[in-house]
Amino acid sequence: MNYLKLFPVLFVWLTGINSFCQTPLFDKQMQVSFDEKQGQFAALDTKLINENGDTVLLKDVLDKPAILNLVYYECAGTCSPLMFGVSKFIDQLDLKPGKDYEVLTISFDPSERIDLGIKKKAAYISTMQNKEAAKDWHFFVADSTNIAKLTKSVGFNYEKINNQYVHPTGLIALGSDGKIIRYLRGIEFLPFDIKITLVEAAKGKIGPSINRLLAVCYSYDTKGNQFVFNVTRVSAIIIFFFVFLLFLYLSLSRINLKTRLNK
Amino acid sequence: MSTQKTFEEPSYLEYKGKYKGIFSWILSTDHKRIALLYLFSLMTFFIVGATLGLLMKLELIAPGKTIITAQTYNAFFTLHGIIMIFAVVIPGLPAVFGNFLLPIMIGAKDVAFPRLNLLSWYFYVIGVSLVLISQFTGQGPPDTGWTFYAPYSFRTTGNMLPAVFGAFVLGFSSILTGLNFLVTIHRMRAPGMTWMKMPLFPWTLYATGWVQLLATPIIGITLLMIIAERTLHIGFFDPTLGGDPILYQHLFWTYSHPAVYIMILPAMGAISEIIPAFCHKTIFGYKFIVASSIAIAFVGYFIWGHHMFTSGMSGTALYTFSLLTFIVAIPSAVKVFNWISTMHKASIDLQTPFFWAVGFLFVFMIGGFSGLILGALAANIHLHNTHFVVAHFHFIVFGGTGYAFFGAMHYWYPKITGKMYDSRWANTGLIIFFLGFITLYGEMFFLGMRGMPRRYYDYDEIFHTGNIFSSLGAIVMYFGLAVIIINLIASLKNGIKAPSDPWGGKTLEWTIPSPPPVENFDEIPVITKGPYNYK
Repeated sequence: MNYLKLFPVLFVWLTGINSFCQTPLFDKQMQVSFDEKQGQFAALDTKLINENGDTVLLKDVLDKPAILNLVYYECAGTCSPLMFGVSKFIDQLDLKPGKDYEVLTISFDPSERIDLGIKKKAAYISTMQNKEAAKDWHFFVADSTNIAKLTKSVGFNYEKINNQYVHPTGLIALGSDGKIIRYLRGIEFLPFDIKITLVEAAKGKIGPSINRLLAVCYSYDTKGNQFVFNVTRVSAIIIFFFVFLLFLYLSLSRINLKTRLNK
Repeated sequence: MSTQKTFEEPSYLEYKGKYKGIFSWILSTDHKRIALLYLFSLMTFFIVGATLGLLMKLELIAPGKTIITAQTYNAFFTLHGIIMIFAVVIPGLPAVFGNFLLPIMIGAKDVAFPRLNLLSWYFYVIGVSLVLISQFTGQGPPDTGWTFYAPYSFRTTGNMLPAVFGAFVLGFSSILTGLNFLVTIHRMRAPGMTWMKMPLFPWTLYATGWVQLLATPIIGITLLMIIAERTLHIGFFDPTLGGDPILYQHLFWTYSHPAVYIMILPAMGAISEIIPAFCHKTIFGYKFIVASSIAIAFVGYFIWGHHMFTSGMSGTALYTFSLLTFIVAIPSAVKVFNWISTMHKASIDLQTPFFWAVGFLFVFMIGGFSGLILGALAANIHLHNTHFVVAHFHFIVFGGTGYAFFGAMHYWYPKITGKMYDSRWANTGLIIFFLGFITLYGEMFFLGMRGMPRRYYDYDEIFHTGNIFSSLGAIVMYFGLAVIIINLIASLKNGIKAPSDPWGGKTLEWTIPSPPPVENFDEIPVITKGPYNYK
């Protein structure tokens, strides 16, 4: 009985410890973020271990624009919702992974093995509708040196605290040459935002040509984390188009002065 | 060009059309009658704007409150700016003299789209009416200045929406006029009038037309964005809604700087007509003047940033805008050299329009040089938002466009009305006006250099003497204006009948009677020689 009375005391004590630990943790979180490096390159010589257990270089798996997704498989926090967000946009997007773009999920915990990654992949695929497409969603692990190299090159700053990692949540869009195109923060993504990002990453080379037009009309709002309609660019194009058309019409079509004279 | 023939058609003033009385004017599609509709409405608004300006100068005659309160002063400079810019100088020469003379000068019977022409006058009147309504309805008149800078324009409790919408409608009027002129010039020139045989006033209207067509939609969209922001809370310019106030300034000046060229190019065109007519000499460097008009219209698009040197831009943007500002001065200077060279060794007939043209050269050069001072980055930091800027743009906009407008008025008055004005009173008015002008605005350069800010109804005691001069200048100038306008109105009744070519001009308008017949020409002339075929 007496032991039972100790439970509330233990609870209060643990909560206290926890909140004590939380204080510095929040300070750490300030440094834990994406250090945005648009226009720079991800470390292409990063060695990764793929689902077959083979060691491959990042540049070998990057032959198309890619969505890079840095997580750790045993994460109890935001990684699972983030991966769920990835599985959702793969389902909803009319572009095919493996054909139009790559999705690369890499664990930044060096202690994790690829078996765990394979299990996680199977778990996510089971919740997806487009199971065939999802097979081209690739999972990787790497050793600590390579993880450090990769995360530093893409500005992914994280900290290990109490056996857990505190890390930024979001995706990084890469061009096929490894160039960092954009950071998409959050755990849920509009298929439209992903699509335009990929179109931008591929310099308009993938998908139907309407995508190129969309990329002209929309630009990324870094504060709102989404693509917004670029009203100034669209208006300027419309104005120039019509004025140019008028100029062409007036200059190219000729009138018959004699007919006008007789009127 | 072609010899004068006997015309049996009645003049456009006597012609009895379908409608009578006022309707024969407000429903007429004759370009000459529409030009006069513009002239009367424009002069009415000009007098309103000038009176507001005079009241502001009277307020500034002494520090502290003199005749109006701070809030009224804010409303006055806003209304003065909107009326003078959007309703007077932007339509100014194209709407009045362009409408009246463009078809005649290129040998056409009317503009390409006469009904559209009338519609643009209606848009003009509706636009100005909306601006005026905003003064008397809602929660008090707008007080943002004519630039409607965000975020102030959607934070103020002043009645912004009608004013902004009014400016939007005025933009439409401007676009339609520009479009009409472009098509007219491309399609309706008389046989034989090749591009290089076209007079210079139509040439400047042509350059202006493209500027109107390209730049005016930008302000239209921008003003719509303000309306969307105020009513629907869509964040374009308000930082609290995720917008960017600097974006507004960029968009606003992307239009409003080219708008300066919408004002000044036709003014330069009118001066290019007046100078050869009174020098009785072919204009010097015709092709260079044409090229400089196009160059001004083109480069004028890329220099808007010089209004925003202190707003926060990258160093590269600052240097680029500053450099381009200096570059745009070159084609303007080319014109000035050509005008002066035309006068060289000419036997000049000293008449009122020529005096206006010389006055134009004088004040326009002061305005232009002070513009270069403001275009220099370091000087701009010191002078930004001071009275120096106010002096500069009054020398350019009022000194440039205003002098050319009155010059054109005195030059083409015999053609438009069929009467001669009293040139002694006209010259007296000009001298009084000129002295008042220099005293009023010249003093502002010095006040601005010493740091007197613009848009304040009050100032420090150290600026008192300068302001007394400036305000007295305003009274003198207003009096001069009254003499000029009353003389022109009185001459309608008392003036002697004007011959078809009182000044010995050579362009087509002087080959037809004064006032012109309804369809301008009995027979469309065939052009064989250049426009300024004096010697």
